[in-house]
Amino acid sequence: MSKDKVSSHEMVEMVAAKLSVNKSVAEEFLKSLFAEIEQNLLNGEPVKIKDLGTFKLQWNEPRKSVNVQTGEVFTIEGYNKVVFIPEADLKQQVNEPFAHLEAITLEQNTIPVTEIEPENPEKLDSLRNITEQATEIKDILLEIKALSRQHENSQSEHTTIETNNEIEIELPKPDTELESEPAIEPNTDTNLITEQTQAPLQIPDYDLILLDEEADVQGETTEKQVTILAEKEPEFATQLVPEPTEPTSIEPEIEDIPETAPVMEPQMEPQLEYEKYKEPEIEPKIENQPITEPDYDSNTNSINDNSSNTGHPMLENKKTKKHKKGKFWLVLFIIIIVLSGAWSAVYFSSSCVQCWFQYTVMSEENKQRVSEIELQVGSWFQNIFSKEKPAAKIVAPKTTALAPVVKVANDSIAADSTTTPNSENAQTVINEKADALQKIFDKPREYTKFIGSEQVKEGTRLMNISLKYYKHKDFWIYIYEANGETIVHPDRLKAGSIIQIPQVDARLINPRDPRCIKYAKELQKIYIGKE
Amino acid sequence: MNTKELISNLSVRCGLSKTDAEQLLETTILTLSELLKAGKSVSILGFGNLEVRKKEERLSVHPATQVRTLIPPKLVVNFKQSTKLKDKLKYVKL
Repeated sequence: MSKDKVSSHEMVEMVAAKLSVNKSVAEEFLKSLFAEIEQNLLNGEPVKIKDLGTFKLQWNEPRKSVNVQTGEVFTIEGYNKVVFIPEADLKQQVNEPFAHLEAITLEQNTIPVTEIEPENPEKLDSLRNITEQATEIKDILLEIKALSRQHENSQSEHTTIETNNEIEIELPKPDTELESEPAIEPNTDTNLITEQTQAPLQIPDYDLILLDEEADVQGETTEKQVTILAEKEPEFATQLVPEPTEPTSIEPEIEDIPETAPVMEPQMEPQLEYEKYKEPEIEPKIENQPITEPDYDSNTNSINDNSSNTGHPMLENKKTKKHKKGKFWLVLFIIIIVLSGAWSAVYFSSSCVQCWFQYTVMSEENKQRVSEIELQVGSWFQNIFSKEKPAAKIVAPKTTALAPVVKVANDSIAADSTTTPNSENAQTVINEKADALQKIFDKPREYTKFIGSEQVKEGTRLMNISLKYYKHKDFWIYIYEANGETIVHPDRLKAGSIIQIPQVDARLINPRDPRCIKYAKELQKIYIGKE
Repeated sequence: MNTKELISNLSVRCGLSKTDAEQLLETTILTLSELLKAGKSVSILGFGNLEVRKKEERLSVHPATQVRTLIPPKLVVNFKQSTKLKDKLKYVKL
């Protein structure tokens, strides 16, 4: 039996031994069996033998060939050929050593998506958030437009107070600067009147503004040289001279106010977009709500900073002239610019409320809405995470929850985009139905009953055992889970060790349900990935 | 021809009862499949060879979608008729 080829004589012996019949009987039987098959084939009839396969005839057409040595062309005559088609059962049995292998689709230039998913779910999360935020922000904008018409007066007061508060928080600088504010305010009040008069003239002023901006750009490029630009506004420089640093920061603001007003309005929408792209960063830490809100405050400040940027060059010129000592001064200088920018925003919001109260209302409303949405999303995520507590008994990997979380989160977001409460309810009902199976997945698996045991031999694979007991090779992960102590790695089974085959919930190992297989594969990735 | 017909024909040929013929056929099939499972080739005198062949892994390209798939290696049962049988079948017209 050691040799690979078994002759018909040996086979007769085996059959005789098995049935404990006389050899001659077996031999006669086998002979007549193949004679019978042959006879049928000669009649042109296929022979179908249960559990083995079908023998049938195939006609091979005559074909032309070339004699390699002489180069002569001759025809190979057509002939009949006996073909054996094994039955599926036999096919599978024969192919057992390679049964665990699967066809792999190779995608051009890219790694299959399924492999990426578990590796960096955070990345996909953020991508998803961006698109989801886009739809949310659109809704918010529409609501804000409607609301802004209603709350004109009340909101305008509100904003001035708030912006004042912001600046107070933002000024961690020495007292001198804080003190300077009240000192300057009277001056600005006088300017307030002039600006209000200027306000209706904003659009005709555009040419002037453009000129100013051009000049500013020049100033930026030639920072050190420019003294001319500084001299362009001697009036403002002389107006406030009590302190060495502060007045310089304030003067350009006054001068730049007509400039900032038109600049602000086009900035509004980009800013909103900016906010929505910022949110994904915030979402993962939704639980710490207080952190996120200051973020949006700083966003509004950043607008102010932008507005003050138009006034920078002047400052820079003067500053660079005064302090060329080192980087320290540069840093200090930048801080002062930021502060002055913020201050200008306060001043500006109080003075030109009428011109762009709409913007302030919008930003105010936006903050409220965004914080509301954050709360909502936060609560969803909390719910999801409480639901999706890791299920496996032996190892409780957090990642098990990840893939399902994404799914459920998507569903909840889909519900959010509609924003009507009815649709949300409907969505949750559907989720509950679909998650009946999910609950089984999430239930911690405990292996108490065993349906059998298997001794590991050379070449034994968990997949083959799974195929034998569960009728599907992908459910080997449950065997591995149940034998966590004896199996070090699913690929390195110790020969001679005994593996217990656990009884698993039939719904969990339904070979016809793609979800079961998918879940088993997810588990596999978790276990293999961790080692 | 199916298994039932084969059994009845064989019982007539060998002078056996149908149950005996059935039993014999079953054991023959079992031994055959066991041998094949073990990777052995079975040669039947005057009929042919039943053997297991390994098909190597290959890269298939779907002609329409150009999706490339790596097909794993597998073991296949192959039958090769003997030259005797081939000669006998020469004049069979299908």
